[in-house]
Amino acid sequence: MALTRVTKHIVHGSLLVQFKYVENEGNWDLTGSQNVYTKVNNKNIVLTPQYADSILENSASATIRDISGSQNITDTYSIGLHVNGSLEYEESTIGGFTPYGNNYIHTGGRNDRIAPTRRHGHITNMSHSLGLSHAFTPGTTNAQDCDVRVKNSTTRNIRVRDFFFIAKEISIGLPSSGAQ
Amino acid sequence: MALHKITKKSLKGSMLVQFKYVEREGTWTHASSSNSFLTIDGKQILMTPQFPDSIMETSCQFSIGDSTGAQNHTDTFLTRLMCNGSEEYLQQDMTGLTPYGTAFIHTGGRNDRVSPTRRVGHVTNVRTSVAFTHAYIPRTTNQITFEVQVRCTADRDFQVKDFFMICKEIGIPEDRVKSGSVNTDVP
Repeated sequence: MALTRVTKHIVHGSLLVQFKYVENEGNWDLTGSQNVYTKVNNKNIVLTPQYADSILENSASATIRDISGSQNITDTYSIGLHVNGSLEYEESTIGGFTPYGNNYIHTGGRNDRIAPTRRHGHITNMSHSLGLSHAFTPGTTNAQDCDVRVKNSTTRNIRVRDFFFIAKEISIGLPSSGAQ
Repeated sequence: MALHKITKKSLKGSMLVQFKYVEREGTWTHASSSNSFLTIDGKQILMTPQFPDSIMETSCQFSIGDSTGAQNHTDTFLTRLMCNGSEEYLQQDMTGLTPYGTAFIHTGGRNDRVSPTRRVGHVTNVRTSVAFTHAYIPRTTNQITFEVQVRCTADRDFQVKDFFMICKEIGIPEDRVKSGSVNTDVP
């Protein structure tokens, strides 16, 4: 608790003790081991709680997309909040599945003299807006190294754009605050 | 910093100084020059920071999507947070690309006696949910006008639905813990 009694009057409440944020403007591409959680451009926030009973609140936003240019019918993305290297929260099945079809069949495509540019309902490189919100009580005043990692369900290149990540230390006013 | 000395003992801390929000309920259409940024229905939040070292935290959410009913396979949408007319944060690649195809061809469609209901994989007016969060330190106590703008990569009509934006002034304690941007304020 950040506020305690100062005089006879009790000052009792919730306070925002720390507020840190980090940005990765523009593109960051995950082009190797894409199905393994990897930090978004090594961005992290180290936050040392001032009180052991504080709540750490995290929020992040970005967009994510396939950049392989290839058709697929199974890929989805995951985003994971990691704290001190451990997965604290995971949001899975972001995006997907991608509509697919044939580039070249008897109607449309290179064998069709009438409509060679006709394509049959597939698309590649779909993009998705994503966001996460999370809170937890670390129960310690040791440094908390928070980062956001992403992965694909398969080894196909993906791109994260315009990543923004906020971490706050919330000092709770009531003992009943926190996880239900 | 929002809290300061109350008695002989100094009380310093971080406080939520201001909290404002604005809503655009229902549907708003970007129907002209849709490939240029436009403020969502002119909605703004005016906030005058009480302390120059405050953090301004902004979050917003809405849904967005093509409303032309036309097929396209290249469009994506962008949104940005404007502060006093300057771009503070940009989010690109919101949704897209849209699956496309031909509704009526020789296989499938009304001229196909075998499979008249067959369609060839296209869809239009795809919608997506959008949300972003942002923070920065303006280092001024001059009034700031916050707006969220959107555009499409093509000049094609699109709709924004149920826009909601929140803006907060956070009074940060810079004396004990280093709050602020990891990029610039807290190396």
